[in-house]
Order: sequence, then structure tokens, then C-alpha cells
Amino acid sequence: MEQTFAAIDLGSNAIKLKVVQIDGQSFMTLEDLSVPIRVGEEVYLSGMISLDTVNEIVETLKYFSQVLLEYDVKTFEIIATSALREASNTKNVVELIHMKTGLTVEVAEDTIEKFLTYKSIRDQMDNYREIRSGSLLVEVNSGSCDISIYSQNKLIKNEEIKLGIKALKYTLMDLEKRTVLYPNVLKELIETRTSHIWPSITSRKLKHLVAIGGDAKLIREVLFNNDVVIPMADFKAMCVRALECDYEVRALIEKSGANWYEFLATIIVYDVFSDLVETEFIWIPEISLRDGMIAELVEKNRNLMRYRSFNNDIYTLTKEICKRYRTSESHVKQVEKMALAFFGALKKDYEFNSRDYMLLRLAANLHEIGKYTRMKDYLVTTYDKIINLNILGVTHNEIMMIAHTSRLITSSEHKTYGSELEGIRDEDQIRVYKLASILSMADALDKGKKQKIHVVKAYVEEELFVIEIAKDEQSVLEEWSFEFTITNFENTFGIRPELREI
Amino acid sequence: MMRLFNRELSWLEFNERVLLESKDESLPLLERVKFSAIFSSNLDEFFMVRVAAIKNQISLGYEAVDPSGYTAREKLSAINNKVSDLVELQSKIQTKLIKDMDKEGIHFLRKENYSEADLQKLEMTFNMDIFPVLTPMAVDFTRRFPLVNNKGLYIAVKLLIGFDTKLAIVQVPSVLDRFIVFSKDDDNIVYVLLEDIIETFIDRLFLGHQVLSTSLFRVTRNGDLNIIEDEAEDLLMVIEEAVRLRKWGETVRLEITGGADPWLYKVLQDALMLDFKQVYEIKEIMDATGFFKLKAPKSKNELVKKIYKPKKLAFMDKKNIFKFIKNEDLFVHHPYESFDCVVDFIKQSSKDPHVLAIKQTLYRVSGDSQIVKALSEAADRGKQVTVLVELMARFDEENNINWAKKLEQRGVHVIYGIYGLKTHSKITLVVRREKNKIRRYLHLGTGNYNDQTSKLYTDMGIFTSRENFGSDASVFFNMVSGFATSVNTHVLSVAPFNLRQKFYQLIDQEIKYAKEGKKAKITAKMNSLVDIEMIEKLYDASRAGVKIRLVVRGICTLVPGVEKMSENIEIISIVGEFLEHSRIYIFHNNGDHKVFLSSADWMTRNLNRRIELMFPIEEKTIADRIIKTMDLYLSDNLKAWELTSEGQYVKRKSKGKTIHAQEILKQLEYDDNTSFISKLSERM
Repeated sequence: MEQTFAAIDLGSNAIKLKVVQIDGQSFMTLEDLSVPIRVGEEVYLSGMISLDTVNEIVETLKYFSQVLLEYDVKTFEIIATSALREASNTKNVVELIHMKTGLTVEVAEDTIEKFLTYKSIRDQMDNYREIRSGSLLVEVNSGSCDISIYSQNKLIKNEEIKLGIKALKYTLMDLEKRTVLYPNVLKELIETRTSHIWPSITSRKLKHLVAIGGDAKLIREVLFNNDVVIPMADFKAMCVRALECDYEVRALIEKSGANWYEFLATIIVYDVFSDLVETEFIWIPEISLRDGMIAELVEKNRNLMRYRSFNNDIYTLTKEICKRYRTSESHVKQVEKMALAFFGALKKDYEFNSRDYMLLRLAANLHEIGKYTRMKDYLVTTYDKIINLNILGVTHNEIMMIAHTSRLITSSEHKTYGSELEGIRDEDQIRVYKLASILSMADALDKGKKQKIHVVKAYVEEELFVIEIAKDEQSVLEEWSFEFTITNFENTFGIRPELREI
Repeated sequence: MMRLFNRELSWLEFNERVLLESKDESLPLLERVKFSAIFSSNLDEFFMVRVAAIKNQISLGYEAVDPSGYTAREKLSAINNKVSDLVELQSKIQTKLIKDMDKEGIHFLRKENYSEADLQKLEMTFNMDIFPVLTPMAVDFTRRFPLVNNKGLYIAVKLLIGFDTKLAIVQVPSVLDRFIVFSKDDDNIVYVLLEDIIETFIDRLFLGHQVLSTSLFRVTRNGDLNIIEDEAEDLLMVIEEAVRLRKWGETVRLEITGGADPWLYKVLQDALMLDFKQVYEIKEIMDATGFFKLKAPKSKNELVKKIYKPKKLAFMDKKNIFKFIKNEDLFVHHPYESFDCVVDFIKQSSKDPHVLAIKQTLYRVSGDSQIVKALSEAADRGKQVTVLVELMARFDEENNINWAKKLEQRGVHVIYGIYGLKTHSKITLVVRREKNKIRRYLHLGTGNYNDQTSKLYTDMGIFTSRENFGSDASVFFNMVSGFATSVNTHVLSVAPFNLRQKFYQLIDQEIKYAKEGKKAKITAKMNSLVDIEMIEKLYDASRAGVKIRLVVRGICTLVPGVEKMSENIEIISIVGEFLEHSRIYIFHNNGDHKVFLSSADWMTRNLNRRIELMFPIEEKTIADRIIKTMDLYLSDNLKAWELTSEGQYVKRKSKGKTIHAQEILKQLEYDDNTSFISKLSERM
């Protein structure tokens, strides 16, 4: 069994490598390396990554490859984040890196990056359970600001606001030319841009404020003696000094090699959100994308229970979305239950994986959200709404898969087998048809939304997919609807579904 | 009262102590001769580096006064005066040595004593072996003076051509042995000097012209590599170029045979543009570095130092050293304990199938280094091998370039360190996979990975598998590879990043204890002490009442024993058979001693401009052993010289029991650190 794992994070300001060794239940860090390469700045200013920078990245990755060999690391991942994501020549850069190093860089979507970063909180914070009981997480990054709310052990809100530090830095520099009170003006601007989210924060009695992101670490290390837990009074006093452009604070920041304006923008964002929670402390934990990547690799590699449990956050976030769109909870629950029963019966023969399971669950929950705004053609509206969702831990390709799965639950929408679904990778097209066939059958069996039919058992029997059901009352509507799904299911799986009442 | 001694004069004081060893008649004769050779070799380097730098300052018009109160001009003058005295002293010593050698059967047959029979025999040698490789160069004063090699021996020839007096020069070929065995039997060896033979038959080179006189001469040039690294695309290429150019640096010294023809003397002095003070007349055999090669007659083994066989402790013979290191830290003190265990550590690592990677810093390695061979083999076996080569190890660059290239060809990752920071640290990191677990093994030392010098230099080292050490070692190698910006280490202190601060913290702690009325003490051993800030810190500590006892082998600019400044500081220097090279730093820490070993001296270059390492000794028995060894050094009363507040070194008077630290360490029989401590206690 693998003992060493590594993660390489190709970030906006640096390329970082972490190599860990699993020692019982704990991780022992063997290498933790950071090589500063200002990719983010270049992308922000020119929109692309120059060849010189690519060469710098390549040299660093070559060195990292050597380190991986030194520890005989076989399981590792390289993830590029916002800078590469936003560059106009991303594909070219990824290809060049592959050509020159043989390494494959995966450009992580924002939702995946955040999901992994949050994942590291679990391993890095001793009071992780307490944090999940009620807290506000504010992550400030070069391109955006991410707000999350944990309540009752669930991640119930995750929203991205376009408040990137790189942009804020230049705003500050511009404002400085107009007024000496430029930090206060920026604070006002941030307040305006975030005010829409305030009620959802203040309405809950959140007990903790957790600050994360690149410059949060700087604040902790340079201004608070690297303490993870900082009394709120001290933090607020520091915010006041920063807003007044206190000479000593600025000297400390600049001595550390950091950019004053980037620091100022970061602390102002935290300052704004700290006004919304009544807590005694602010937490600035030592978390990183790399830790999350490693946690993910280890859990996948060892098929750990906690891997599955962390994925539950994705589910709870989806549930919150359902609530927002007031979908029928009992219907969604029934459809999900039946769909998962069918999925379970087909899993082995049709090689479904855990990710398919999750996508089916999400589609079952979201398949009717379009009804909130428009009953007519609600599947199209559902599709439109889903494709605009950002769900932590779910890639855009997967979002598209959920959207298509939800849309294809009626035979009228179910196109001819083999026709191309827009926005989905080739290799995932067939997966969508399979999931949609399952979901449409489950939806049909609760057409009246009265949960009349209960699936007792489902199994494959030669050329048949047998669904044993029990029912409390007549279910003509459901059985009639079921018949419309049979052809699509048969075309997709090559077996014919059959209802058997017991 | 002066606050600092002058560093150049302090260095010359050190070299005088080396020279005076050749007067010590308790030593075997050829050992005394060797000290005279070391003195000459040291002096060459001193001229090539220090004097050259001062001459540069003068030529640039730099008039500032140095921390010891000298201008460059005053310094050069003081150096010349002191060197003249030393050359005179060496000459007297050499006369005595030659006389003593003659008594013992080692004879020098000089040209003035050649018999007819000798001449006949030597003529054959000249015609057959020497003449073909001689190239006389006529000097045309309308053109530039021919370039003469740094440290090369030449014969200046005054010729009469027609009615004109002309100069020609002939190089004494370095490809031939300079001390030629003329005859030998079991009890005697007769040497003739190559330059004597050439001078005797020199007219054969200038047929048709009259040779009026000849004189042997030797020049020393500026040899410091002053590389502007920013302009260098590839450091390797720059060093190669600099090595080539070193032969032609500015002349800083001319040595010429005593009583040379005044015309030749003047012509050479003018041609080389030297002040008369930079011309040294040599009355005895010029360039005593050649004495290293002298051999004793077969029957006179007592003339040479007995070959010392280093001790081998239990762990040193084991086929799997990792097992031992895994259980406990291992300590080694060379040359008393064999350096083979360090070589074996690398050899075993290169062969061990569980070893994944080896990383090592190499500063000076021997020509036929077993370590380099083992590293190549490790790379052949598919292990990840990274070697940091310090190309700029002074005067060793050519050697370094050669084997660095060879290593690269074998697939070793060779890195050349960080621009502007010479890598002087000595560390080896071995990454090993053990039952699916990665474990890092380290060797850390005070001396270079050189199996030859390890027999002559005293150095200390440890093997450890402590995780915090391993983690820091990885950080260190990433840093020297240029892939880590910060050096956040747990236990290792790294110059120029945090070593100075670490020393200050430790000294400040002693100051604090002293001020609280507690016992406060610093004992340290190093090669040189010249860093002004560090000296001021030590003065502060002394004023606060911290007792400071230092063993500084070479340059020391700290002025000890001055009331209200350094009255609590005592300094000794030990010069003996082995070159004292270990750097030990011990802080009393209110009874809970903190013991460190390091590659760094308290020199500005070590603390600010070099990559150096200091590591703590965490195993108590090892720390106790080092403390005990330091006590021994400080008690030495045979080879120790005490530095006075006037800057003189006075041989310590033996009161009662004679203590000769190096000899005791050579003779001591022990099995482990604990028995070392008890056995040494009995001897002191």
C-alpha cells in the first residue's frame, strides 16, 4: 500500500510541493517547498502566461520531479489554480509543460479548488467538528473571495464574490492618488459589494470566523506571531492600524517581502466580515490546497470512509439549493431513493463508480428546480438553472452532466441514443444517458408525487431488469409513465425493465 | 589599548607558530622539514590572496583605515617587514634542517660541490631528460616582459650578445622532479636539484653567446578569483576561465637567490614592477614546498612520523551502518577515529537497495576520491544522487571542475550552489525506504569529505536519523538548489540566514545568566576569529561577566585580557601534528550545556557570505564527550600558545603534568563515548 503522497499546487504567486508520509493515522511532512513565480500578476496584467514564465515553471517542476523520485512517490497530483485557469493560453501552457517535463497539469476549476482547500481544514484544525457546527469561512484569493457557512455540521452556503486581491490592489493604488483615506474608501466599496450576503450570515448565530487564503497566512505570521487563534479584539485593533496605514505595520509587511496593497485589501475584506459575526476569536488555520489534494489522494487510494463523508458537503449544499427553489421534498426524496436502488442493482454490471452515485443523487435533487420559476417547459428551465450553479467540489463538466441528466428524464427530451450532449466531455456522454435512464424511471414511478410505489428489490435477471414493487393504492399514472421510460432504458442498458408487484 | 589586532599580522603570527614547529627537536626530522614546507605553502597562499587584495586597494587609491587602525599602505609595509623577518627565520631553520638531514643521511649535492664524475653523470641526465623540455625565452625590453607562471621556478640568465648585455629566462620544468635522487643506499640518499643542473649546463641553451651570470627566481601572483558572477551565464565556464587567468594575475612577490647579480635583480624587479620590499632574497633552497617530497633512507624510519592508525569503533565495521544510526546518534572524531566510516556510509548507501536518494555537499575532495566513485555508482544503480559542488573552493577549482563534469556524465545531479555564496557546509543526506516508511539518515561534519585531509585535520561529525534533522536537511538542500526562498529550520542553523542570530541568542542568554549572578561560560574552538560584530558581542559578554575560553588555531583579531573590555576572555592556539580544524561551540546555559558543531568560524565571510551549517549535539553522552575533549584542548600545555593582550603568542608553560592534547587523543583506548570520558578523565 502506498505510504508517500505528494501534491503540487501551481498557484498565482508560487509553485508549491508537499510530500507526506502516512504514519498510522497521521501525516508526516517530508518536503514542503514553495518557489515563488508570479504567474497571477502576469495573467492579471497581460491576460496570458509568457514563455519565460512557462520555462520558469518547467524548471521548478523538473526539480519537483526529482524530489518525487527521491522519495519514490508514485501517487501525486499537479493542480493549477486561478492564474492558469484565467490565462488565455492555458491549453498551450499545459501542453508545453507536458512536452518539457512529461507531467500532466490539471487545471482545477474554482469549485474543485475550494472543495480541496476546505478539505484540508479537517486535518489541520483540532476543533474541526466545532467549526462545522456554526462558522463563517472567508477565503480571500487573488481572483475572488469565497464565503461559506457551516451550520449544524453541514456546509449550507458557498458563494463566490468577485473581490480578487489583484484587482483590489490596483483599486487601492488608484484611490491613493485621490485621498489619503484610501483604505476606508475601499472598505466602503467592499461593504457595498458584499451587502447582499450579509443577512444570511447575521441571521445565524455563527460561533466562529475562519480566515483563509494566501495573505491570511501572512497576517498570522507577520502580525500575530504565527498564532492560529487570534483574539478578535486584537485583530480589530490591527485592522484599525492597517486602515490608518500605520507605519510600523506597513514596515513589518514590506519587510516580509509582501505587497502592502495586497495585504491591505485582504485585511479589509476580513474586517468587513468580522463585523458580521459575534465571536471572541478569529481563526487563521494553516491550510492549503496541497493538504486537501493529499487528503483526497490518500482517501481515494485507501478508500477511506471519511472520503465519502466529506463528499456529503456537496450533497447538503445541493439540498440547500433545493430548499431555495422550494422543490417537493417528499418527491425528491422518493425519486432519489428509487434511483439509488436501481443504481445499486446495476452498479456492478455496468461499472458505475462513486462519482456516478453522487451525480445521480444531485440530479435527483435538482431535477425539478426549474418549476420554481416556470411550470411550462420546466425541464429546460431546470437545465438552465443547473448549468449556472457553482457547487463546491463539482466540476463544470459534472454540472453539465447533472443538467443533462435532469433534462433527459422524459422521453420527449430523451434524444436519439448517441446524439451529442452539449458541454460534456466525449467520454462522459454515455454516462449521462445511463444516469438519465435510471432517473427517468425513478421519476416516473412517483409521477403523482404521492409516494404510492415502494421499490422492494431491483435486480438483473438475464435480459430483464426486474423491479419488485409494493404499493398502497392504485398506481395507474405511475405505471403508465413507467412504460414511456422502458425504451430509453432498454436502448441504454440492453435489458428490459419490468415491474413486478409483490 | 587597541580594540582589534590586525588580521594579516595575526595570520603571519600563526604561520610563525607553524614554522617554529620545525624547530621542535622532539619531532622526527622529516616532520620538522614538513612544517617548513607548510610554512612556505601557507605563505604562498597568503601572498596570492591577502597581499594581492591589499595591493589592489593601494592601486585603487583606497586610503581608509581598517578596523585595526592600518591603512592599506601601512599594512603592506608591516607585512613586508614581518615576512622579511620570517624569511630570515626560515632560512636559519632550514640551514639547521639541512645540516641535520645531512647527519642523518639525507644529502643535498649542490652545484658548487659537483665533482668531475658528478658532472659527467649529470650531463647525461641534462642531455637526455632535461634539455628536450627546456624553452629559453629571450627578453626584449622593447616588448612586454614574458609571462611567468605563478609559483613557477625560473632561471634568469644574463647574456653577453655582441657588446650588449641581454636577459633571457628559462623555466625550471614543472613536469620533471625537482629533487632528483642522484644516488642512494640503505643509509643515504643524495638529492640534486633540477635548477642546479640546468644552471650548470645553461650555456648549452645559448650557444654562441656568453652567459655572464644566472639567478633562480620565483614569482607569486594575485590568485584570488574575483568573479563578477552576474555576468556569468554558466558558473562552470567562468571558473574555468578564472583558473586559466590565475596564472597571469598581478605579481605580488619576487623571490630571488640571495646574492644574485645586481643587474639581474634590478632588471627583474623593474620588469615585474615591484617595490624592493616585495623582493625577497632567499639564502637557502628556494620554495620549500618541494620538501614535502623528501624521503628518508631505507634504514632511517625514525626520521619520518610513524603512520598513525586511526581507531575503529564497533559500529564502524558493520555492514549495515543504518541499523546503528537508527538506534542512536553516532559521533566520530577524525583523525583519531577512522574516516572510513564516512566513506562506508556513502558506499553502503550507493549499494543498499532500500536507499532512494543521496545528497551531499562537496567542497574539497581528494584526487581519487572514493566518495565520488561511490556517488557515481549510486547514480548508475538508479538512485537519485545530488551533489552540490563548490567550484570556488580556493585553489581547488580545477580539480573540482574535472570531477564535477565526470559526475554529471554518470547521471548525478550536480548543482553549483548559489551565486555569491560559497557553500562551505558539510552534510550528507540519505533517503531510505524501510518497510514502506521513509527514513532520512544524515552525516554532518566540521570537515570536508576528503579522505586524504581527514588523516591530517582534526574534525568532528555525527550520524543521525533524527527526523527534525532530516527535515531540516531537506530544507537545506532545497535552498542550495535554489528552490527554497526561506530557511525555516528546526534544529540546524544556516548561514547566512540564521546562524549569526543563533550565536547572538546563545551569547545573549549567557549574558543574561551572568547578569543574574549565575555561572555563565562560553567555550569554543575554531580556526579563525575576525568578525568584528561577533568580537564586540564577546566583549559585551566579557563585560557582563561571562567566562570565555577560546581555542583559535589561526587568525584572531580579538584582543583578550583587557580590563573592562575582555578581561574574562582567554585565547589559546594549538599548532601540532594535526591541523586543528573542528569548530566547537559550547554554551554553559546555566548548567544545561548546549553543544554545537559547525562548519563555520567566527569570520564575517562564514557568517555572511557562505552557506554554513551548525548543528546541535542532542545525545547527552556525545555532548559530554565533546565538552571533555574541549577541556583537554584548553588544558594543553605542550602545543598551546597563549595570546597576550599585546598580540603576541607565548608558548604555554607546563606546570606539573604535561598535557599534549593531540597525543593523548591518539593514544587513548576506548570503546564508546562513555569509556572515552572515563579514560580521558584518568589522563587529565
